[in-house]
Amino acid sequence: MTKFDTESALGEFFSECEEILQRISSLLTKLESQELSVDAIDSLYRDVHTLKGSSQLFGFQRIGLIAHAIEASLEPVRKNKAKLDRNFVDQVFKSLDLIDRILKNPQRDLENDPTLHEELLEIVPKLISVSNKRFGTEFELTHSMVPNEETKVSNLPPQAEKREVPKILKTPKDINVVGPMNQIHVDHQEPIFKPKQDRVSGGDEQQLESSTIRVQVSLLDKLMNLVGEMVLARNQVLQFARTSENNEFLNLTQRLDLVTTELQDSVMRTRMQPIGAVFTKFQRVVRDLSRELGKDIELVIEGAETELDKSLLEAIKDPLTHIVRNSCDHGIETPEERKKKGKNPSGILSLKAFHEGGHVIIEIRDNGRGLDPKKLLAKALEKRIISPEKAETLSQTEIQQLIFAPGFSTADQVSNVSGRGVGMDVVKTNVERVGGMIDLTSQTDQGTQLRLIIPLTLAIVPAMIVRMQKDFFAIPQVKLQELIRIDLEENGKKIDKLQGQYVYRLRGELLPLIDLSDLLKTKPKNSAGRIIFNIVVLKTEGHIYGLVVDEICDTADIVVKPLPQFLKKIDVFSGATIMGDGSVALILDIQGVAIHSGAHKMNQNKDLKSQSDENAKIRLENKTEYLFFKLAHSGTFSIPLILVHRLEEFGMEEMEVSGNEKMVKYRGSLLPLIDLNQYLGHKPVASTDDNRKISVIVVSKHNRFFGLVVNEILDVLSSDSEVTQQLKDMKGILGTIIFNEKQVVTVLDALGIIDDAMGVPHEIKKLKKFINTRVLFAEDTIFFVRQVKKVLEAAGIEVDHAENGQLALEKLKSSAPGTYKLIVSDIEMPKMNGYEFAKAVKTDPAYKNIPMIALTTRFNERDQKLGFDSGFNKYLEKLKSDELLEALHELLGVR
Amino acid sequence: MSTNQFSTFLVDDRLYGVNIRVVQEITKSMTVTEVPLAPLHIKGLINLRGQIATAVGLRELFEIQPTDKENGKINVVCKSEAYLLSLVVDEVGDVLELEDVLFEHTPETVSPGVSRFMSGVYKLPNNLLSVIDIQKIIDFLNV
Repeated sequence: MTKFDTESALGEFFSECEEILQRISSLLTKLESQELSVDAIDSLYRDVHTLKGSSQLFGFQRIGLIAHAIEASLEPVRKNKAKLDRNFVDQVFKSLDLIDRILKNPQRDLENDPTLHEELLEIVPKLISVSNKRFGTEFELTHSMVPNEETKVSNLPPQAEKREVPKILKTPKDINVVGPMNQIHVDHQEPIFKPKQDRVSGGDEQQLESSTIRVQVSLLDKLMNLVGEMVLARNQVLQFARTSENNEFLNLTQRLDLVTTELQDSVMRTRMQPIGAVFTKFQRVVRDLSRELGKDIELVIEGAETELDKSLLEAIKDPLTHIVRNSCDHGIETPEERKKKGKNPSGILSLKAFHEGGHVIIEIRDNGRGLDPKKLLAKALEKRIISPEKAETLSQTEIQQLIFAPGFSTADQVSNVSGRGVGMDVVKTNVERVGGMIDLTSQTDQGTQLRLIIPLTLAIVPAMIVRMQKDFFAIPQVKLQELIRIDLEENGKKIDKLQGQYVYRLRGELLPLIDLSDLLKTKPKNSAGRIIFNIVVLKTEGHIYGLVVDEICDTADIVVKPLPQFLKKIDVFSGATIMGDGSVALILDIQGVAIHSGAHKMNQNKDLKSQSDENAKIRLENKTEYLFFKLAHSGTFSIPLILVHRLEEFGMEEMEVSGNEKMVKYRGSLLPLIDLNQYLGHKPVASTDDNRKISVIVVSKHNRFFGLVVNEILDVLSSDSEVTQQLKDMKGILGTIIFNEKQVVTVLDALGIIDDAMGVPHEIKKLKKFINTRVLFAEDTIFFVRQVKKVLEAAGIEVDHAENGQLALEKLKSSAPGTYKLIVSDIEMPKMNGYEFAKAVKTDPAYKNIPMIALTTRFNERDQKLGFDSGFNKYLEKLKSDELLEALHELLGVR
Repeated sequence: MSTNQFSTFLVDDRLYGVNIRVVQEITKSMTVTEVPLAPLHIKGLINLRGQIATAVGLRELFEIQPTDKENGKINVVCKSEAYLLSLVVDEVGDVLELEDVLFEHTPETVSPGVSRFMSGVYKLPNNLLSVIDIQKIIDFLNV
């Protein structure tokens, strides 16, 4: 053999050993807990035997010796079908560890490291004695075997040992002669290679026999590249085929298309490996840990066959190990503790992998104690990750997110099991480095669940292609939230400027905008001139921003090509790809873009940021948006934008008059019109000119639409000043706000005006009034506070208001028992949101019987379910006062 | 007598050469995708049959005034370790086989803008050939 041959053969040997060790471990764990199957034991036996044979072939006498001892000690198991016990399995594991260590540092064996020999002298006899004890077998190879072997091996100079391969091959036979081992050997030598075993084996063990070959990863990578090129060529051919009318050629291209697609798919699959390869390692990890920690932990594995790219598998191995160790160490309690809590003393750690929408989801769930928010907070404060002021404002979810904060390692306070100086922040970064995401949910005493969302493969990524001037860029779709198109010429559409930065109000929340052309400096400030904004909403590490591009083109599966080192310095690109036409497009690094453009600066001074917190802040700072309009009377009027359904224009000729009421046809029914000028006692909108259009604000109330006729709609602006109430007593007026520090704008009570003008029957009057009823009301938006208070007070209810869940909870706890008959709460509030508030109330035995009503604009099924799960008795939409009152009557039993 | 082969080219009418071992191919100008925010000498990215090469403008790298005739530029594609660089030059010349005795270290008078990428000079009968060390360019780019 040439030097190269030897080396590559050695390499094969090492990787084979590794595989064998892994298989043995997983088989042992299985055998320990489950019924014995002949196939499993046989394959275990075969593996040990192979290990013995090949290690001796390569001159690793020690490994051969250990394997031999394991083989011998396993003999009774195979023969008598005796069950393995813990001590025995422990010993085997220890022996395997020793082999593993030798493999990691092969020189030790070859050079006859004396310490190694000592360990060997310790382990081998132990293994045998445990086996003897367990199975009551009679063989005593301890004394005869080890010294014999020792003298033989150590007498040989190391080189001779390596060279004399053929001689070493004979070693098993040599051992046979030594003595009592004799019989064992003869016994198991023959059945091991019996061909019929292949036929017999079934179930789990079958996969061990599947026909596979070893291929260099670099070859696979090259294949992958070539297929990528082939796909490009195919695309070009297809493009060309479109101009051709030759049927033969068209048929051929179609075949080429099909075959290429299939080829691409298959080549991609060659890089895929079942996640079970990683999962099964954890059986051992969990088993060892639970023994070490005196815990009883059952590992449940689901979806081990789920496949993902080899490089990704490598990348998530360490993060997963860390999470698993964390769960065992911190999550699952000791059996005593669990019993005290009324839980099953044996804890469950479940690993589950499955495909979902082009991703692999890995869920790691334990039913342990969950995260302790108090401890997390204390730790974060101690490590100065957050400031004490900040700590006050964090919601439960945000506190849980603290464990991902850089520097939040629990290393110094815990055992050596999980505290190895690696924090969850590293886990998070590692997962995110491969384009994945991590989610955490935890409930006290219920357990913790971590969800890793990993792309299927690194090499091919689904992406959104966007254009900026003549250049195309690819955006990985994992980061993509939604696409928005805004036409500034449409009514009510607006891009605002905040501290020199463009922002867009996305469902009431501020979305910072980054113009790609500004970012890439392809031309000076572009946003100023735009009329149509194509916005790609992207989410990354806690912040969301909108990327403004010239055109959103298409989605495509792109092959990611790395950039050379010196281009990685430009942090906004993560790679490049080749487009269908053969040109190169750069892939945007979403995180890098955020950092580069300074979008992160919005979060810079705050410690750990989650978007919801950010939103809460923005909402608080810009309490209310108002729609400004003009009436005949001088001055500007407004109504809260939240009440506005749409803005419409109608021609005068469309107007119909019935009695005193004016109306127009609108969406298949009649829209009653209320002329605000008339209502407020001004001159009505002139109706002399028939060609004139009238501007109408459509407001929805009680599921009906009403049109408020105004002279001119001006703008939508937000104001953080409060509505002053000097004018409150005037008909139809809520008060005034000051805008831009000087302009006084009258705020109209749109809902009141509608009631008044339409003579809408006040159903409240039909319902019995409440007496002696005090209600606690949590809401952060002043406008709604006022609105709801009005409704409740009109029904005879006394209302105590709190600005958020936390303050409401404090108010509740400091009140005399029975003060509040009912609680009404908003959902989205700072500090403590409605869900958390409801949970806190409902888990407190003193208050759990107080009925709770949620009032919210988040009105989809999921939110509703979340609401009920949190303990709300009713989940109502905001501004539906009738429904609110009805719910009150129902819950309080007053009719 | 030991010799080395050099692929020669012209930048601003001066003769340069790179060792032919690192040269993968020489192509006419190709579609270049510009890399925004990159330094001036990075002309962009080129698709070389599925592999992506970085086009480096030697004029820009050597801090020579740009010419008017941007068209008709030629790419000398060089490979070194993991890097695939395409040197954008004005014109290509012949492949020269040069004897080691003709080699001399870079004179100190050569402007540092160019000399930092040179490994030396070959004395030709009626000209001088500046030898460009591709590794020096990569090192420069990576700083």
